[in-house]
Amino acid sequence: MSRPLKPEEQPKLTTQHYESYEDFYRDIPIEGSLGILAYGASAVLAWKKKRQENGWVPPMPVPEKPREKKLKKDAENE
Amino acid sequence: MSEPKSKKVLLIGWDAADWKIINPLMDAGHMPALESLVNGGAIGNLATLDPPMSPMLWTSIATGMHADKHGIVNFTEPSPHSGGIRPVMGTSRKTKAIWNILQQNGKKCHVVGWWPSHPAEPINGIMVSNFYQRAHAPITMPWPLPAGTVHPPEKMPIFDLLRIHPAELTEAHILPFVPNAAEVDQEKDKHLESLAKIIADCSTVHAAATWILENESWDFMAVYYDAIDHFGHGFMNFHPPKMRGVHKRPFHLYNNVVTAGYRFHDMMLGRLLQLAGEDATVILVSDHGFHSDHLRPKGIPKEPAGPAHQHRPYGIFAMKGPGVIKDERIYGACLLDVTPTILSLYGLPVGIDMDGKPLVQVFEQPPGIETIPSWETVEGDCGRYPADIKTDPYAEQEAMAQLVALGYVEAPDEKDQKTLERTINESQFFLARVHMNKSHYADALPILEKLHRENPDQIRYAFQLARCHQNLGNVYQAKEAVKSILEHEDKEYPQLTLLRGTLALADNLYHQALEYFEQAEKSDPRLPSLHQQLGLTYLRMNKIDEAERAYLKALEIDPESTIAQNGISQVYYRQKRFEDAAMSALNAVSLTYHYPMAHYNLARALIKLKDFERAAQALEVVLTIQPGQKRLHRMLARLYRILNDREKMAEGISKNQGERMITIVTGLPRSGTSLMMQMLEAAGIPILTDSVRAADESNPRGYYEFEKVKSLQKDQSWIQEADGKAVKIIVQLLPFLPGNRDYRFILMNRPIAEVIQSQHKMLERLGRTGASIPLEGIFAQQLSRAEQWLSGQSEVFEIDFHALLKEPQEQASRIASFLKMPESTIAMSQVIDPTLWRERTVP
Repeated sequence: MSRPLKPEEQPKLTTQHYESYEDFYRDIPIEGSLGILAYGASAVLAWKKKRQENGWVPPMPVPEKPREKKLKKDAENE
Repeated sequence: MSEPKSKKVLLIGWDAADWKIINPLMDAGHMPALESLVNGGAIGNLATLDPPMSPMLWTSIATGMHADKHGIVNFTEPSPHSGGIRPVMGTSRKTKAIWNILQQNGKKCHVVGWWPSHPAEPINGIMVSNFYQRAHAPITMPWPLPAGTVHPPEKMPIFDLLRIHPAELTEAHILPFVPNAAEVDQEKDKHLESLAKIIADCSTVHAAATWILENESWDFMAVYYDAIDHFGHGFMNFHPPKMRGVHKRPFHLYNNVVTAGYRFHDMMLGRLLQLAGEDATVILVSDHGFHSDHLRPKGIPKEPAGPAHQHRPYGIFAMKGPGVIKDERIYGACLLDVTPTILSLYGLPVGIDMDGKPLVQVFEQPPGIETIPSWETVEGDCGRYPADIKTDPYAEQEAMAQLVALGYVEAPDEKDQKTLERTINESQFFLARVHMNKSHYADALPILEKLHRENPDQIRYAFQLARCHQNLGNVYQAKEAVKSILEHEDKEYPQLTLLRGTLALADNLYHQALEYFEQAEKSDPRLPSLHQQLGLTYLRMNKIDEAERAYLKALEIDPESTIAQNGISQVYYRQKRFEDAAMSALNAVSLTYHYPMAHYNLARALIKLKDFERAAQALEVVLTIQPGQKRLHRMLARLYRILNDREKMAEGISKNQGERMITIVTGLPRSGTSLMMQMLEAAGIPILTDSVRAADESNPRGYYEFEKVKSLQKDQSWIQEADGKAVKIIVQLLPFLPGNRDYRFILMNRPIAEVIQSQHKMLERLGRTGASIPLEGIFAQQLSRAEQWLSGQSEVFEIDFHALLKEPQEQASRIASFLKMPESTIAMSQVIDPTLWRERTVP
């Protein structure tokens, strides 16, 4: 989530993906869900492997605004 | 070594987890894994320590010791190399952690994420330090593990791979926390970003822990998750019910984050339980709770560690495993007890230098507890850092400052220097609070005095200094500290008004105290401890009904207030409702075991209920926590007499002879007190004197005075210097003695006329003039007041000055008998020189 979603990208992200909180406890492991993270190491490694096989590329960070860039540079100089 | 209860122990830390949030979630079936732990094991509150700072507390959990021993007192510490500061490091821990002790006893140990644990210690299993999980670069950039993050280093590649970057998370991870995430304008609102970081960090820790459990053999494993604390600090203000002042929109968006955070932890717990297996003992703890209801603070003070004000004093404890009681609550647990309990699980002795106790009540068959003076001196490989990388950052900073002063090292720049000074000050401040938390006020005082002297504008320092003085009985100094607060504070605030009220109460100015409390109530009617102080004031004023109302109000605001439970117990006792008094005192000790006053009130009520055995047990606890209280030893001895336990009775009486007993020699000035001091010195009792007043013609053998005694009415802070010694105090000053010490008194009686004559002679020799009015009447009055005051003391011995000079041996024998030092009779009698009796009114 370090790539902030633009408002026009967001409407599809609604609760309909999770009709009830019981979805929280869907069978583990579940591709891409919290279930994988909760299952731990073996599920995480499998998820990462499968993702790589599918040609996953990490999301690009949003370019920093000029003012943020300046503040960061100032902080680094300090 | 006794029989071990368990072969494997899994210790799980959930920072800031709180039953107040967990219970309704479990009732709704939303935390099934924890519910299985609760139903199959023992649960209870886990009392925290003050200050509630996580690195300090997690180190206390891992060592069973307070921070003054283990050395971790702050979030940051001086960096010996840069001259600036750095996050607190594991190398600064001065004592062994549980995993070091277990390794020495042949157990294979793994540790993940413990705070602080960087760099990873070279233990016999795997250690993943608390620097492991942070994503410190965008996912498109290299994100190497910091050096020292994993031990053994050859395991670094797999742990590198297990990490989850916040940017890897998708809506499937975020929506269970924020179902309406689509409505968030992420240009302006950064909450989703910080939420993603928290989820990614704790998932990374969990991946590391589960990898170890999936792939390695183990006897002991400790894993620490900080996410619940982060969910709390970031999102608790949006947790239902909606707080006043919180806008509707963020409440609508984020009201589910805390709940979802707990549910996610339950999912992770489920996996850990599965991997640990049925034969393992699992212990789940939190270092403190987190206010989630009407006690949530309205604002966070702008001060270092200000967010700690959101913490609640009770964390969670849950334990399940072979030999552990099932589906039962335990009471009085403190986070210091975790390490001693794990040691007893393995049948290992507990260090006497540990501050905690094994929670024997969790076992179906309580084990015999063995002890060892200290694990620190036990030799052998324990997996600690090599000596050359263990550091005392504060000592190193001092050394660095000296090198700077000598011109060998360049001074840090001004900004670094200020940050460094602030860190050192804060660490000292937290250390002082640790001492105060242990009721070691005399140890806290010099630290707070120095901080206040050097930083008079820091209100927090002055405030704690006032509290420290107040607890030492130095009301005058406490008021001076409050004055200095008022010099730097534009307006009175409720906590300060409350403090002023408590000081007025300490001065027995009840009506003034009530005025302050009413003023504080107007500003903040739900101020924690306000109604407790009102209750205490009414109790002192003997207004029992008003006291009852005040304490009930305090309990309505916070039913888990130990002080209010203890206060209402006192009210019920005075109302002769002894069963209710015992029950409330029990509630208080259930909440906070290390609270001697509540055990005492419990004992008192049980005596009235004629339950002498349990009353004796309660008194034993008081004396374990606060040893050396003679009155209680006598009370205990009486109880054992009733119970006909001669051995314990003798023990109670012998403990009566406290080594810290202060011997006070008193009388009117020139009544023979210096002679008595000489005798005590001859008997071998250490003398508290500064020899400021030198011997002269009036007292050729010296005055044996201590300068600070003269200002006893203003300053009692020196009294700890008198522990175990003899000190001379004139009768007029006796009522100013603080009540927190054991005293025995030797009162010198000499005819007042002779005393005045001797005083005149002394003034003549000094070339000064005395009072112009006759003093016999006023001296007689003062002596009579002192005798009345002394009648309330338990150990008083009166000696006649004339008799002492006429029958030295006989009188010395009587004194020696009072002092329980019969062997010193001759030495004391030899000091007496009748030729120095010059101002006689009798032949």
